[in-house]
Amino acid sequence: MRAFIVTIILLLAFVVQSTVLQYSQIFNVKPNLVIMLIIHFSLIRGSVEGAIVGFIGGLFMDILAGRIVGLYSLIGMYIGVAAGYFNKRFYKDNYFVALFFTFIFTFAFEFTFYLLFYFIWGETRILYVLQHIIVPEAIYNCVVAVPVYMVLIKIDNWLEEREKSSRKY
Amino acid sequence: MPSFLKNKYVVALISATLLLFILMAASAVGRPEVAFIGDAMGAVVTPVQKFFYGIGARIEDSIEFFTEIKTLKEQNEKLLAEIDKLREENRKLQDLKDENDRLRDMLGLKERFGQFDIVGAQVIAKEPGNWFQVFTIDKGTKDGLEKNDVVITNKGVVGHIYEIHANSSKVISIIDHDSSVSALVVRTRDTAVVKGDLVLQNDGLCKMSYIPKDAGIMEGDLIETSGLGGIYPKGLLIGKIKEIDKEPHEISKYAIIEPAVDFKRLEQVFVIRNSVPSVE
Repeated sequence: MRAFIVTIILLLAFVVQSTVLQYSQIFNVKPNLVIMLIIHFSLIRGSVEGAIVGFIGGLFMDILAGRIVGLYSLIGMYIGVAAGYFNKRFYKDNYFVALFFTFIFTFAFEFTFYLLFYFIWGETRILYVLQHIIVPEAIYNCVVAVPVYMVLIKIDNWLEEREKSSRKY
Repeated sequence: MPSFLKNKYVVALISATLLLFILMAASAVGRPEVAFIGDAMGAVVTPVQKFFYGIGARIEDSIEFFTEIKTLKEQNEKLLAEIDKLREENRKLQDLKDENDRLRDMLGLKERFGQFDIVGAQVIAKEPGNWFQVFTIDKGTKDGLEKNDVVITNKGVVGHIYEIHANSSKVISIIDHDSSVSALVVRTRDTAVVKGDLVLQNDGLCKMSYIPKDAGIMEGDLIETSGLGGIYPKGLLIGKIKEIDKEPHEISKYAIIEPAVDFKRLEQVFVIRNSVPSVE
């Protein structure tokens, strides 16, 4: 049940990401909803589920719209593991925590891309990339993150309730 | 056995990583096997994406409609006056066109695009991140398309198909930093290479490199495909020169190109079926 709902949420996020959000560019960047979901799921549920969610969410992006199949899955999976690592260490209902980690991990995610560009295509204009792609996207993601996190916490609590009531002690 | 291998999660993580590396390598060299993974998924998601992509465009249109009502009125008056002027001009041009057609017939030239077999397609998704200029269209092998088929709009060339599924295909646009097209300056006949650039692609521009130092190019010169390189047929409009500059090493020049196509607002495109017939 949980797996099914999470997959649907990821798929929906991807569809919105690749279609409607293309029209929401500010300063030539768009927010990345799927990455945001991966970070938030991992913060709420921990590393193992984070890795799975990251892998599946990344796979959707790869197969349906990405440039190189496997790239988003790989980065998504490790972002999930890393974000899930902080799961027990912070109070997860605190929005500032979610905000802070959204910024940090979006930055990490995009910086991984920069490294890839650096090693494969010899892209050396790091200052420009930071100013025009990485930091604006991290900030944009943070702005969108708060409502997304609120909805996710609600869904997670609801699923938790359902699972509790069907569990036998 | 090292102790960390006893943790089944670590083992799963390592095997998933290896699997993805293999996938990425296969995908980067364009192995057709990779595309099969997307076929089943594409069948489900493609119609949904089509629907949502349309919504995005419509929302943007209706917002623009309300903000522009004032300026529209002024424009309308100006345009009415201009219509009269243009009608007169149009009549003159029609005469010229008739004459041109006659001369063309005499020379035995065919209409340039008459030879192409064209399929209409709709853009249904764009690359989710901010790094690649790649998008998905709603036609695939079922419509007779093939890998490397060229995608155009009525304005000019857009890019080519690099991955194809049954009902959809992925197109890399000419402004992606990983794309390069052999190009020709229409006026001076200089050939050069139009490449995407990470810095320019976000503004919808691209770069023309390896222009000979002594080439007499100017801003505003039109650029079209040269037909060299095997993917793009000759004579498709790419765009015009926006800016010219010297490379640091001063052996050649480069120019910033403004493509004829607006890559931010792509909706309807055309695919040239079998654009370069394969040599067998």
